[in-house]
Amino acid sequence: MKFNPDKIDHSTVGFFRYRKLGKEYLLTNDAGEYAFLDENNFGKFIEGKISSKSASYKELAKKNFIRDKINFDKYIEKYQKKHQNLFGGPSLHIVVVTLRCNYSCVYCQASAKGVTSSQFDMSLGTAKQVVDFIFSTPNNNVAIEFQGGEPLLNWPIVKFIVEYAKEKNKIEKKSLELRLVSNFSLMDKEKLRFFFRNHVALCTSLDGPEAIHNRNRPLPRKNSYEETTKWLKQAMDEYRRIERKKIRGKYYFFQPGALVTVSRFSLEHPKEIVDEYLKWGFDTIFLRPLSPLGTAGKAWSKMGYKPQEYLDFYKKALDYILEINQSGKRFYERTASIVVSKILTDDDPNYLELRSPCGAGIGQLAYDFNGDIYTCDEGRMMGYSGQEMFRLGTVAQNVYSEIIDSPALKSMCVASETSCQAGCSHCVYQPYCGICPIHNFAETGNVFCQQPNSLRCIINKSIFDLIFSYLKDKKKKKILEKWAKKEIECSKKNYQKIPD
Amino acid sequence: MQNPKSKINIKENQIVFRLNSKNYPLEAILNAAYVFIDRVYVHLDGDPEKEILISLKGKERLDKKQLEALKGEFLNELLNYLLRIEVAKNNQKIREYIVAASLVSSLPSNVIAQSSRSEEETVDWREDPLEIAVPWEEKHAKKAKEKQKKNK
Repeated sequence: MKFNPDKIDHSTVGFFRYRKLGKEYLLTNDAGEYAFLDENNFGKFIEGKISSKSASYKELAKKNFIRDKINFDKYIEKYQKKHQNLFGGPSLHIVVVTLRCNYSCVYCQASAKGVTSSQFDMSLGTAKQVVDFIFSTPNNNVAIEFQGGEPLLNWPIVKFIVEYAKEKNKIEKKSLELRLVSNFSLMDKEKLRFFFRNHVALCTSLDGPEAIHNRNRPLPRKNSYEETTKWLKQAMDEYRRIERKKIRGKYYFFQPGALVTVSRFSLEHPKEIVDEYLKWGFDTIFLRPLSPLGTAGKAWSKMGYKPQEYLDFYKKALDYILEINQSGKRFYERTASIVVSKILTDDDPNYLELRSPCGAGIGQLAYDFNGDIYTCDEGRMMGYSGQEMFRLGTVAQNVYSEIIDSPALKSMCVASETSCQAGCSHCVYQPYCGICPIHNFAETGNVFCQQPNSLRCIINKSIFDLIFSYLKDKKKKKILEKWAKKEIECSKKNYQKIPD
Repeated sequence: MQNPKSKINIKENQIVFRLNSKNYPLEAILNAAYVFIDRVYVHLDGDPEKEILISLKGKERLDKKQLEALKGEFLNELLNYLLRIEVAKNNQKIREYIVAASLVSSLPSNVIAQSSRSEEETVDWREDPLEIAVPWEEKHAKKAKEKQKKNK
C-alpha cells in the first residue's frame, strides 16, 4: 500500500469510503458520488499532494471529495434527493387476499395453503377495513399490490378492493396504483378485461423456458408453463393493442411484467432464461436470487446454492444482455438498472430492499388475509414460521399512528440503517446498499447480522464490484446510463393518477 | 510501524501476535478483525491502553505460509481502518451538518407543522407533572413520609 495514515492532510481530505478494485481505488461519499484513483494518486490525495491542475483533482473537487472545495448546497441537495423517500410513509401496501395456492413451487416463501382451505381467504369486512386503513396512511402515493397464495382464488375480494379503492380515491385523491401478482392460471377474459379497464398492473412469475419453469413452479396435473404463458400472451397482446391505438391517452398503462427466481435448476441456463423473456416481448428481466425464507429455507440444501454460483450465473446473463444492447436492442436487467440508477443519477428509485433504512413499515406494509399488519411480506412469512415479532397490529384494532410507533417497526429501522452497522458503515457501497433484517433473521436468528457471513452481503458486494468494473468500460457505461435513466423514469411513472 | 512478531501454532491452526495500542487503537483493531470473521475465529485479549493480543484461528486448515499471509492481510486491513477512522473523525462535523440540513429540509410540511405544534404543547413542562425538577431527597422524603402515614 502506498499511503500512510499518519500523513493525512486533514485540510484537503474530505469524507470518503473506499475499496480497492483491481489496481485502482474506488472512492464514494455520502451523496453517492464516486471516483477511481490509481494507487499513486490515492497516496497523493491522502497526503494532500495531488496537483490541483490534474484531472483527478478536478474530478475529486467536483464530486465533493476535497474538503476545502465542498459545494455544500449541491451536496445537501443530492443527499436530500437520495433520501426523500424516507419521509412520506408507506407507499406499497401488499394485500394477501388468500393463503390458498394451486401451485406447489419448490421455493415458495408465502406459506401457501391447499386450494380447498377457504378459511384462509380474506373476508369482505376485513377487505374493507384494509382499504380504509391503507387510505389512512399519510403517503400521497399508494400502491395496492395483491399477493397470496394465488390472489385469483379469492377473485370476489380482489374485485371488491379494486372497486372500493377507486371509489374511495374519488374523495381521497391520492396517486393510486393497483397491481396484481399472480400465476395467471386462473385468469379468464372477463378478469383480464376488468384489470385493463381498471388500470391494474399485471405481474407473473416466469422462471425461464418450459422445463425450468415447470421444475421450479409445478402445477399438479397440469403444465404450469402453458397455464401461465397462455394468459401472459393475451395480456401482452392487449397491452400492445392499447399502445398501437394510443388508447392510453394521458393515463399510463403498465406493460405486463414477470419475475424470475433463480433456483439451482436455473444456474446452467442464463442465456436460455434471457431468451425466454425476449421471446415474450419483455423489455426487462429481473434476475433475483433465491431467498432463504419459507420452503426455500427448509430445502436450501436441495435447491439453494453458494453465492459464487449465483454470481457466475448473474455475470453470464448480464454479459449476454449487454451484448444484446450493443446490437441495438433495448433490454434491461432490473438489479443492474436499480444499482446504476443509484450510482449514476441524483435520484433514488426507492427500491425498498436497497434502502437505508429498508422499506419495512416505513416504505411498505403487508396485510394478511385475517387483517394482521406486518412490516413487509417477508415479515408476514416469518409469522408462518412461528416468529410473530414482525407483526405490528391489526386493521380491526389499530390505527396508523400505533403501527408506525410500534417497537418492532423501530427495531427494523435500526437494524437496517446501514450507517450504524458494523461492516456497513465503512463499506464503499454504503450509499447504494440496503439490509434486510428479516433475511438476517432467517439466516442467523438475529435481525443484526455479521455482514462478512451474510449471503446477501456477499452477493450485493460482488454485484456492485461487477457494475463498477463495467462503468469503467465506455461502451458498457453508455448502456448502463440509459438503464439508469429508464429506471428513474419508471419509478416516477409508478404513481401517475389512474382514471376514476 | 514494525511488523509485529508472531507465534504460529500449526496444531491449533492459529497465529498469535501483539499490537501496541498507541499505534493501533482498539476501534481499528475491532473493525479489521470483523472483516475476517467469515474465515477465522478471532480472539482478542490484553489491555486496550497498552497492548492487544490477537489470535486468529482458521476455520479451515491452514499451513504456516497461509497463517503468515493471514497476519499480513490483517495488518493491511488494520492500515485501511486507521485511515478510515481518521478520515471519518476529521469530517464528522461536516457530515453531521450535511445530514441534518438535508433531512430537516426534506421533511414533509405536515410533519414540520406537527413537530412545531408538539413543541408548543411541551410548554406544559413548566408544570413538571413527572416531578423531574424536584430534588431526589425531597421527592423520596415525601414518599417516605406518605409510607409512614400509611403504616400508622
